[in-house]
Amino acid sequence: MRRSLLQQLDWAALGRLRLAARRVADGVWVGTHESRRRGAGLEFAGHRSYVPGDDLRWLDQRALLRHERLLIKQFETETERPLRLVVDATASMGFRSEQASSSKLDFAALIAAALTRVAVRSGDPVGIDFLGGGAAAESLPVAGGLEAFERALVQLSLVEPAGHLGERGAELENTLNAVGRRTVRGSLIIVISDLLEFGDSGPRLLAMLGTAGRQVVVAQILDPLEALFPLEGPVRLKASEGPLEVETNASLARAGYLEALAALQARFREALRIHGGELVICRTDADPVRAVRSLLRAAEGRSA
Amino acid sequence: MSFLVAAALAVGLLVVAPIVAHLLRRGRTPERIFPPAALVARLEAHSKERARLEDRTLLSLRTLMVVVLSVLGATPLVRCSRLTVERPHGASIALALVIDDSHSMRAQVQGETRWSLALEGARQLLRSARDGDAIAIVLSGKPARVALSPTTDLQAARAALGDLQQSDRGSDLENAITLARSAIANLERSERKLIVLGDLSGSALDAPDVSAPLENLRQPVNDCGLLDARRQGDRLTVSLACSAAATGARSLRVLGKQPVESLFADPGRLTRLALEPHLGSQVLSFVLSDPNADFELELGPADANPSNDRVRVSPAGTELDVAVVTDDAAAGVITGGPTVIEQALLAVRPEAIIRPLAVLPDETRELQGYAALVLNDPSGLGPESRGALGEWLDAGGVALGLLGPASSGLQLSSTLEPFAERSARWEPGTAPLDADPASLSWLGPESQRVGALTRSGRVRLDGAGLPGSSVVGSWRDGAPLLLRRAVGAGLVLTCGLPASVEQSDLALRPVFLALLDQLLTEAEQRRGSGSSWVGERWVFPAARTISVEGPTGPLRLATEGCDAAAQSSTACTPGEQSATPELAGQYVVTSDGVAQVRTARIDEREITDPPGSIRPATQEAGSGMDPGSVDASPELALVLLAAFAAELALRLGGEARRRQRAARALH
Repeated sequence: MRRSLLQQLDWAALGRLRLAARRVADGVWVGTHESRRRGAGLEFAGHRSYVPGDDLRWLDQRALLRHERLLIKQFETETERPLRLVVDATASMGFRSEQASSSKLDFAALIAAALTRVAVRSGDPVGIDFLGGGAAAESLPVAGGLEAFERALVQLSLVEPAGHLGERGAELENTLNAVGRRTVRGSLIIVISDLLEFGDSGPRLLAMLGTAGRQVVVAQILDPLEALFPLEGPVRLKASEGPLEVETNASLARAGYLEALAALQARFREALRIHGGELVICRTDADPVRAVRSLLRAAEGRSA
Repeated sequence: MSFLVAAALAVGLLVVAPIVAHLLRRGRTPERIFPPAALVARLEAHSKERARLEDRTLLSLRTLMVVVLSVLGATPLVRCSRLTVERPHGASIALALVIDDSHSMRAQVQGETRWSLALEGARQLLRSARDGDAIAIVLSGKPARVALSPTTDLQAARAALGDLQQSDRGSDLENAITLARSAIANLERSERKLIVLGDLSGSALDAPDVSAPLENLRQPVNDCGLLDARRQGDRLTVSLACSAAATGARSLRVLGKQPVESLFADPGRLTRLALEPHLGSQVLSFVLSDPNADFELELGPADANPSNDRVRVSPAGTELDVAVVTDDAAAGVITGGPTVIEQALLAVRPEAIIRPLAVLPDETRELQGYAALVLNDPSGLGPESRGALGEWLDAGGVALGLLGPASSGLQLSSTLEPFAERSARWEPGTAPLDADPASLSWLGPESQRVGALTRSGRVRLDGAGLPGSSVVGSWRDGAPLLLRRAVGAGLVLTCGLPASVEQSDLALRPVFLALLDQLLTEAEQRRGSGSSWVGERWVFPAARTISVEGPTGPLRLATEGCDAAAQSSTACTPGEQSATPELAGQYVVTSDGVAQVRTARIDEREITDPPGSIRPATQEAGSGMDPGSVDASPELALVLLAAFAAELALRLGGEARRRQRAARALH
């Protein structure tokens, strides 16, 4: 018989996550946050390039006549800014090497909880969606208040690394499209994932989340072993998702791997940048406070 | 092999275990989960190759360790095959090593010379010696001699063994064994062992206290060798000898600057020559077209002893020239031909050149070509002859005066000097008189039959000896028969009987041959000859500046009465000088600036005599050998320890390098 949600919940783990999330959130900032949204408002906040889907009401016709460029006028306004977290809970996120203090999913859950805490304290509503994660990974609708934070903690504690993104990223596309449909204009979408199973369509799908007045920030969570590949000698590497096995000499293959990883990150960064999105690299052996700060800076439009 | 040995050695089969483990490991690379595996390039072949190279040293070490462990388990049941001294009572022993340094030890068996095998055997025996053991080393090259007096200093024994040099001497095994036996006879040890390391030189050892453990030294060898090549006028006489095991035809080759055609009257004979080897010696004679040419002869093809396949042709003037001054009527024989003296000399030294002289030369230069002089029944020597003879003797000549009735009737100006005083007189008598065999024993066994030597009388030498004379032979009645007197570098022998068969029986007795042999030997030692045996001592007069240049460099001179240390100082008053050639070949002896060529030749028995044998019962009873009782455990344990240490170092080094690389990559 399937256990109920409360029966499955590890209250001790939940307590630890709560404390850790609070500590991380308190380390980021306390109460000084102002929710900002660029778009329609009172105070002019500059231009940006036009992308298909933008409201033509804000097209700067003078700039078009003067510079022959399609530019959209932006204005700042004080308003609530919904936060949509998309947490990757596929099998690859369960990886943890000897050099790391936690698995990638644990690190992602901590980041997500801390962001939820920050958003709730700022008065912004928060919703969570999962990629993979099995039956326990249920989406949380956008809601505000401490109750939303508690629900997020429960959900993040229950989720286990399981499943994969399907062949050719079918589940990824379905999930991200659903997220796009549910997320209103002016929302901030933070995707927390290792991005390793996103395939070729991954950058495009993530970039599309940044349209329709939404902002998307992607946090790539990497284990230090994945970030640096410090293995030596002959080794057989097995992917955590799928039957892929690679026999190689790690010493000789290191440079090529790091180049391939950099190329992957470059592809995501380029795709996101088109719609004003950002990519932030987070290592699981790094300080989570700094990781959350980087994500918030990226959401503010400053460099991570 | 017992069950335990077999079981221990069976452990060695586990040598395949590390190999199998290595193959398994090589085939299965370490596996680990790595989510971004898709980003890693496949380098499968290279990774396997790396695995092979990295593990090869460790694999070898582990294999070695298993093998060593297996042998260690079987030790000391598994023995090394090397010579050791058996100690039935466990106490200290007296060990005499008789090492053969004769020419036959140059022959090769199993790819090594007998000499090197004998030395290795001696080294192995010394390694098994313990503190308290007394070691003596005797060399059996002729004459036998002690190389190391009995000593308990094993280091000194090893040093003495290292100093031994191979020679071309003949063999004197019997005397060497006697010498070795006497050397350890008085040592207070419960066990005395006498071990012969040599080919036994045709001897059959049956003494119970002697063993000869190295059987491989007694393998017959295929050997033919050149003994000498003597030039006599325009004739070249080549002597060669072959062993019983010699096979294959031999040929002679000329080595020199001049072509063969210009050396020999019939060069085709030399080039066509195909010598079928047969046991014993052969003599070849050639006619030279250039009597003064300098060249060598080589016997081919190479055999077990290549050291005796080449000989230098002796230069002209090195023959043993002997002058015989006698009256044919007095010393002749009824059948005619040479006198009895000449026939006896040729019988003793076939290669000697005998020159009969009618009268004794008056000038020294006429005598200088002779090494020895035999003067039969001289009727006195005039002043000129005495002067010439005195100078010749002083320079190293050896003379034998056979005094007879003519020696009694001296003319006014004549004397018998340097043989005797004028007082020597002929004592007629028809009664046969016997000589005293004991007084002539130095001439060898031939001195035993010296009864009834006289026919018509004898020369009384009582009181006729010149100053410095000594009686070296006497009659039964005590009267001197033979006098010996050194004159400068030379020697004078005076006999109280003539060679004439009418007046005495001396020339018909073996003792006469022995006397002449002694005379020629003395002449060879003093003046040199065409050839003398290797190992025969060459004697030189005192106070002469002598140098001897041999085939391998200067020869060391020994001075009588001075030990080796004193010779280098001026404190020693030099007496008679001597040198002993150890190698066959030509030597240049320089005496007061006058050079002379001498040849030291190999005893043909070193080639013709087959290796000796030892009675099996003797070998077992007196061997004192345990050819395989060496416990190799300590050495094997050390090897095992070293292998373990090496593996540990390799592993630690590899781990440290791996950690360093990982740390560098992380930071």
